[in-house]
Amino acid sequence: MTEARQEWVGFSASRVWAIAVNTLTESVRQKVYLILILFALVLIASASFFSQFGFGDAGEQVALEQLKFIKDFCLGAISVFGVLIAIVGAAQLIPNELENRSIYTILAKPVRRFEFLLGKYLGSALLLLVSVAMMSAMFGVALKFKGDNYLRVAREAAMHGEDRGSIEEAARQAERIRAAVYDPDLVKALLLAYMKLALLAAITLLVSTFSTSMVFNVAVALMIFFVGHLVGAAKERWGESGVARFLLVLAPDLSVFNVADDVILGHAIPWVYVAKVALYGAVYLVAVLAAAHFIFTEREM
Amino acid sequence: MRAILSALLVLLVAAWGTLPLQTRIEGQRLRLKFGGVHVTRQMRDVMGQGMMIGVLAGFRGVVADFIWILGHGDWESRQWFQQYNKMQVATMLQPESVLFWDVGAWHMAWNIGYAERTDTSNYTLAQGIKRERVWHERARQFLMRGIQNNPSRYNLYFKLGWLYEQKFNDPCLAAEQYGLAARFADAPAYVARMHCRGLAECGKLAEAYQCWKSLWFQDHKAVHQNWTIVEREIRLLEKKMDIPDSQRIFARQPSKPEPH
Repeated sequence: MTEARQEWVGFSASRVWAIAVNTLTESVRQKVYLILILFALVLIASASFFSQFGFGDAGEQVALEQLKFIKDFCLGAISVFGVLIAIVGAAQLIPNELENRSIYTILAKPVRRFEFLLGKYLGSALLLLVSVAMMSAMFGVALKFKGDNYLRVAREAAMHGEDRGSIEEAARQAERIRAAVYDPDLVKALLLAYMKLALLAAITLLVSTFSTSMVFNVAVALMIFFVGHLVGAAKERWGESGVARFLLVLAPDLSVFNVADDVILGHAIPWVYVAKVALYGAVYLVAVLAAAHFIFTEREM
Repeated sequence: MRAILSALLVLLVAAWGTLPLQTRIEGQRLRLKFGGVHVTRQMRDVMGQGMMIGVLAGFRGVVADFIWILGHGDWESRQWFQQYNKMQVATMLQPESVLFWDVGAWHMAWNIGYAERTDTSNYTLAQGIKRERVWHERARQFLMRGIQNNPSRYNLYFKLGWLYEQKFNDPCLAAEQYGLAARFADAPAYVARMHCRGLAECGKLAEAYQCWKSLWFQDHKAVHQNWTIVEREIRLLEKKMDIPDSQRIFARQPSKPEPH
């Protein structure tokens, strides 16, 4: 009965999961991915060595500016390498299957095209999750390493202050440094960054459903990435024109996912905002996957 | 063809369906003062393609820092306008970085201003002073834009007050800005003292006296303040204003006996 119902619905979560895990395993073994993630981790780990680029006159200001630089640098690196992993990873999913002819073997089995597509996407999303988690962990270590050094200095100053005023000021400085290091809003920034990458991977997969060239997929996805970041500026300039508004609505506004700068500068990011952006991303993601499904189902192989 | 049409239709429906949500998100971003990058012609001219891509890719803070360092190079080679442009772009990229506004205004009012005044190509000293004042005004405008972007931080109000005091020789405007800065809980104790002193220098002795008194009546154990200075200033004003004994905080000091 259950099998019959599944056949009627035409969807099997276990088949999708099997394809997703397989996609993840294949992607992780690829040299391109390994090189990208290695570079990303090395770059993030070395952020504290570049923190001298930060500004500041003395004491606490130097500490806060250097911590800000580390956050800028690491979140930027996570964004750049995340985008590369998302696009390169998703762009080759279908072309590789076609080139290796493994797609024919898979689709010859009782696997629906939608399940195949969804499995491939989930594999790609899992790969991004693993990558972002690894880069975030390295970011956390780099930030803690640098922050703890400054915290130790500030606490020592608080302990050896000459008068009550300087002790209190040093304690306040230590508190400000601690708040800069252990900022819970960084998690929100990373969460939204992941959402953006997942959406970008879905868009790349959509492009690869009607194209056979991986280079074309990567180029188009990169263009959509840049357009997505310029939508906000374009809306400001041409938002009054009906035609422009119609066209601008089609492109996803990827800039709404970027809250890293605001987190670094100390803005509180409300969960309501995160939820709204996540909902926007989820709706767009479902639509892009549905569009990919329509094209992939009709595609001749 | 049917597949492509279906795909387009789905994307259109999703795009139009999320329009109210997008409007809400944009509204919330504006309310929360989230600073997206607004691409301008000036930004494009200063940054070039490489840095522009860096900004779009997520390295906004790093690019801003890099532009700031380039600006410092311009200062060393006395390219004031290039430095000015770079300071503008750095603050556009990171409008809420107080340090950029603070140091930028300091460069304009102190370093560039002085260099313009003492430039050997000036025909007269008056010409040098005129050129210097242009940069003072630029620094003032720069700080005011900084305050617009960071209204809830004490630093830039204080710096604007310092600029009014040091470069515009206007203690009244300076006192006003120090007063605004002193409202913030994290402002150092000296900011409140500078506010009171500024009022006295402005000639508003009664307000200055009230200001010092309000400082003096704070809890001396809870508030970290240089009470010796506060006491000295109150004594000075009480003497200067000839405050009646009944209203004084500190009793008159007995006058020294006349030497025989």
